[in-house]
Amino acid sequence: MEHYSDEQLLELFHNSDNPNYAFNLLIKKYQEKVYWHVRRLVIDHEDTNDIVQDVFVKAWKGLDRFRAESGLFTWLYRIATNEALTFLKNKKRRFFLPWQDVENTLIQKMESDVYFNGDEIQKKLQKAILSLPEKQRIVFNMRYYDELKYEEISQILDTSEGALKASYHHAAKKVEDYVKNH
Amino acid sequence: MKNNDINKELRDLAPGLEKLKGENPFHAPADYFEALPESISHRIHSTTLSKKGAFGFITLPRLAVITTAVLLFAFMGYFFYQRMPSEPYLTEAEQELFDNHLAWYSNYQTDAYYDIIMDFENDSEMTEMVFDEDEVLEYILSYTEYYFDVPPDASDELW
Repeated sequence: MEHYSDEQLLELFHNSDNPNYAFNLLIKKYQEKVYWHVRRLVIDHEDTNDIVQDVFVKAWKGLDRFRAESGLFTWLYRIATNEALTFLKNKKRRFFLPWQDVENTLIQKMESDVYFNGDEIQKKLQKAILSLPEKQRIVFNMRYYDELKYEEISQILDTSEGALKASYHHAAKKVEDYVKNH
Repeated sequence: MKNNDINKELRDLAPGLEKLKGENPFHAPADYFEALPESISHRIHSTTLSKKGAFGFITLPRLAVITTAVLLFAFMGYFFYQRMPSEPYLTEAEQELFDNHLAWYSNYQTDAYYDIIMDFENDSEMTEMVFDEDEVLEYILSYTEYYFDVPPDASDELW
């Protein structure tokens, strides 16, 4: 599956008799990356599962209009990021929560999550990441875990590379301080 | 190469974090990724179906509500129009009574104004007098203008 390039997948999707097959290949290629990106933002597996499915449903609906100006991967990441942020925003709005409380809710979820098996230091690291402002958290995750280039993050988040570098540097310092001092 | 750059950046920036990198403390349920493409296909299928059925589940009730509202307003308008009297309010006898009463009231008011203006002590004195109508009208107009319409002019004599 992995050997299909994005161009080949798009070609297959647009020009074959069976676009479902092409889309299935696309899901298999990107599902894990999208899943982990969303999971690190919303923490809970069930929420992540919902969001990931929505991401691919949106991708299915939008793939006809997708022009390969940005990469398929960048496009999917952008949808995933927007969906995750919308989910968190709705959560805040629905329960009238300030960001601090959303952060606490996410920490509680992580601590009671059966799909979390990190040791104390990993727990501390995750708490530190969750204490970051939303945007810094996204940038930090994309660079630290997904190992994306600033150029790619810039395309996904539509932010200048300079601003992203500054965000990542601040975030990394804060996370390190938190891990050292808590 | 890409990893090396990122790791070097992290080493320079926050060396403590470099050691923790690479571990993923989260995990997904067993076989989750094997089943996910099918779950997504199901969701796509159900979303497409519900979109196709949107006319039946969303637009049709709206259409029904709008139609009911229009019909209701039409009926209300019709009945309201029906209740409006097509014949005169008063019978002929009532109209005559009303006209007579109006005439009497009009005369009564005129007499009362004469009384006020002329300040007669009794009616006999008034009946003996002959009034020039123009003179009376002019008097009334000047009286009215003075008190109601025209602002008092300092140069005017009071009376």
